[in-house]
Amino acid sequence: MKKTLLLILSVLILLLGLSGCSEKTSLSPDDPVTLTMWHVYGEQVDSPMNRLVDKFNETVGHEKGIIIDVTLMSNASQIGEKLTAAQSNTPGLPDMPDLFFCHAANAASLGVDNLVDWNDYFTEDEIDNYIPEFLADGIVDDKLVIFPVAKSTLLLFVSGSQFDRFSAETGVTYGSLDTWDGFFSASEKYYEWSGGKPFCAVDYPIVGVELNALSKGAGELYTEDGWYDFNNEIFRQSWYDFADALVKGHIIVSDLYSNTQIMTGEVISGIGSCASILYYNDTITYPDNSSEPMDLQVLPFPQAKGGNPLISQSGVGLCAYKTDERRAEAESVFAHWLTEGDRNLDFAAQTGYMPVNKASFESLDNYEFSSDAYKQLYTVLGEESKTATALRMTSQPEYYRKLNLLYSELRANQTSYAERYKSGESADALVSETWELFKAIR
Amino acid sequence: MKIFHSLANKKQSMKHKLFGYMLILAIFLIVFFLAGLFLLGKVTSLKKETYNTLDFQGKVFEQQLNSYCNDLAVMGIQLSENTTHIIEDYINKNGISFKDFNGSKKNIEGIQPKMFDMLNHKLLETDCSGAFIILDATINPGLDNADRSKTGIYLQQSNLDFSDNSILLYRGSAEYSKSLGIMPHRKWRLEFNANTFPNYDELMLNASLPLSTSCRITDIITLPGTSERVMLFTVPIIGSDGTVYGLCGFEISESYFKNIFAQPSNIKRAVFCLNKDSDSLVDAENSFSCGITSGYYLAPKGKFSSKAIGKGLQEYKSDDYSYIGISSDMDLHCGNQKFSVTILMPKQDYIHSARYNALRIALLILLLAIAVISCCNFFSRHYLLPIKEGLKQIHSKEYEGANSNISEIEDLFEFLAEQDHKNEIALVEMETALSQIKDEYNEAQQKISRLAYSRKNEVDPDNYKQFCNGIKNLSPTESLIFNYYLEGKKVKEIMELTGTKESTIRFHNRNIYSKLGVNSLKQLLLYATILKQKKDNEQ
Repeated sequence: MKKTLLLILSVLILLLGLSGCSEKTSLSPDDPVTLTMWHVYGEQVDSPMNRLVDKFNETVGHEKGIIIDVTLMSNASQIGEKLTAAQSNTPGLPDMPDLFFCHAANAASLGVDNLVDWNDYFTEDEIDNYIPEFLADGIVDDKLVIFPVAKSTLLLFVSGSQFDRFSAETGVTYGSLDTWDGFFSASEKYYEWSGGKPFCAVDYPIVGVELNALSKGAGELYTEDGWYDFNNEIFRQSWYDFADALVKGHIIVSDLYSNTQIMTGEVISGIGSCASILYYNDTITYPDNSSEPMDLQVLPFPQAKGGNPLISQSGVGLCAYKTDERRAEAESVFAHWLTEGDRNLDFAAQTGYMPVNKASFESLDNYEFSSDAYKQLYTVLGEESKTATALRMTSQPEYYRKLNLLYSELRANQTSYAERYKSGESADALVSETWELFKAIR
Repeated sequence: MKIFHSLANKKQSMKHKLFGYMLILAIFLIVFFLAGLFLLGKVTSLKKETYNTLDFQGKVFEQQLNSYCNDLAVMGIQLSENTTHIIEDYINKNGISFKDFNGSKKNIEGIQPKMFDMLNHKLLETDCSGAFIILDATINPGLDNADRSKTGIYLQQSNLDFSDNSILLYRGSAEYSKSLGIMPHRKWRLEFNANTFPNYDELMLNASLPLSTSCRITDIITLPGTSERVMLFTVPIIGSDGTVYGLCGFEISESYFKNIFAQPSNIKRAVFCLNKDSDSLVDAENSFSCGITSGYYLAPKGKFSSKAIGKGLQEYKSDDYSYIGISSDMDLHCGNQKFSVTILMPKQDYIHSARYNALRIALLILLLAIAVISCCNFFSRHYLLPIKEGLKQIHSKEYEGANSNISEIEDLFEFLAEQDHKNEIALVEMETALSQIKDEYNEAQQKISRLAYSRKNEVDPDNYKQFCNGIKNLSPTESLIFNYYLEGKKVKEIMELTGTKESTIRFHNRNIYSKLGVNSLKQLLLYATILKQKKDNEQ
């Protein structure tokens, strides 16, 4: 009897031991882990990221036991604030997600120690497949906490159907918009031609001011506290160039995204992220409910005449909130899957972003795009990548708070500036007023 | 009974027998216990257990949906009445009729701000993802398909962050909304298209008072320009003269539904579906679904076939997924519209549970078997130990004064000791008697010897010599009879022993007497005794 009992116990211990030895991964299709995710790709519209998530859930996720559940879609401007609010358990917000997309500044606010360091989950060989400049964007405190998925730059979008009429009567061509001088001149002509309508809505005007100044040799633009050096004369002059067009009503700071102002017929062009192509409406609807096709044209970001061509480089990346090793493994599986070769190319090509995988970037030339606008966009991106230098935007959280305050002030005042100019006030005085307003931002 | 019989009759050790009986008892007790549990309803099959769990979840889900739709109906009727009030107030103040809105930018732009404010408030007060008012009029009747273009306002929550009250304008005046700080949706249009508004014509045609019976839920559609699927809760806007001004109501987006209806559950993975126009999950395109609160959610996709698998459970299969679940019809008080709820758990989980249960039962049985066998073995061994010890003591006669802690055994020891004592006394008595008998025997022998010796001297030596010689001449029959005489047998006994008649015996007697030279039996016995004594002395 004793021998039998001993035998049974031995078999049980052996079985338990073997089951322990066979576990190489903490993931199991029998007990899937659900990862919540917030992203910024396709808010309010058809989301390519949601389609990718569905595909992941049906394929690799199904095989490995990972479910991605998108619990919030936001945009690159607002997601940072929402994440900070979720981290402090603000009522009404969904719980802090396992995966999310944000800027380096947002990651720093959330605390780098709270985020997964992707270097722990990607080998050096794997990391080598990605464009180093894009990877560098995601390094905070020497940790790769933001993994690049897609990157963007600012471009000029024009409503072709309206511009053609304007062009036919004024002789202004798309080529006129290559430089800031040409752009401001065209804006002025359009304002006059249209009877006082602004030519362009600009999403992030300070980027134009900065790049224009840097092209003209402004050098260091920031002080030690991360805000602008208002003693930099070239920077001041660049601001004046932009402010002049603004106070005269030739251009406006967009309400948030310039594409909404093009679709309502308020302006005929917009400067915004290359990824905004996803959000463009295909028609312009006027207040009398008449409409016309937009015929969207994508043009390069204007440059300073005779200066070194510069373009911006920005875009959120993928972060994972640190919880447990099982989730981290699942997050790593998703990050690998999302950013590998063709998938990264498809995702970028559907959203208007630049792919981050070296091989994907090189495949853009031969890609079959879904529309002429997308084809144009990637032609422009290809040319810019060859001729212009890409500059990363600063990642200091305070910087963006101040910048948003500046934009709010300009939005609030831009109509009155134009009216005051129209009523006879000096443009120089109004421009100086904007400069003072800028300097007063704290 | 056969087992008992065979156990009772089979020659076995006491320990094995007791072990067998205890084992049978334990098995009977376990069987009775399980039968009792089963009769009391404490033991249920996995199917029944799964059905009960899903049924409970389903009822909670249904109740929540019912309550939600009731709230929407209350808010929808208020929205409709308020809109009617605003329209009729505008009509009365401006001395126009409702038809005058059609093609009048002035009137439409004049009434929109009033509706805008009210709709905005209703959207924030109501649990929904959007709210709309659609009027049977257009700002520009001169355009192509103008009869299908309808003015109105459609506001949406900007996202699922309920701490953020940002609103988006999906349909309506962008200029006015921007003046309120409400941004146009990325796929904004000025007016509604009746062709893409779900069930528009049917809803307008069937609009009637009272409003409480005219609430409807539209088909699920994908909002034009987006990937968001929505269903709309609609209430007609009806004037005091019965004119149908349009429709109003609330949007419930798929994301919103998933978010607010996520169910608390002790099931690890489950999906809760609200199906429109069917009594179960048939096509995921006609269903909204949600998952577990802060846990599992994977939307069912594609078309499903179902088959009953017993105990009220159904198996739902699509090309990619299999679920086990239940469905039940429900009434959302929206006319004759058919709705049902389906609660699903992945079939994989069900199979896993079945395997787990089987393994658990097998382990339980194994543990019970080990416990029963060990207990039976332990108790039978310990119960019989004193008996075996006692038997050993009895074998080795060491029971006198022995202590076994078992009263019956001690009684037996006492009894045996007492018996031993009695036997010893009897033995002593018997030995004394035997000794006396031996003494008497020896004394008798001595007397015989003395008598033989004394008689020997009286015997004629020649006759005795003839007697000794004559023995050799006896025939076998005569020798046999002679020996019988020597043994002390009487004539009758010899007749029985040899089976001969008395005359035959007498014939042999004459021959024996003649050959031995004696003339009586007494003389023959005397000579024989002398002869025996002589032989004994010689030995």
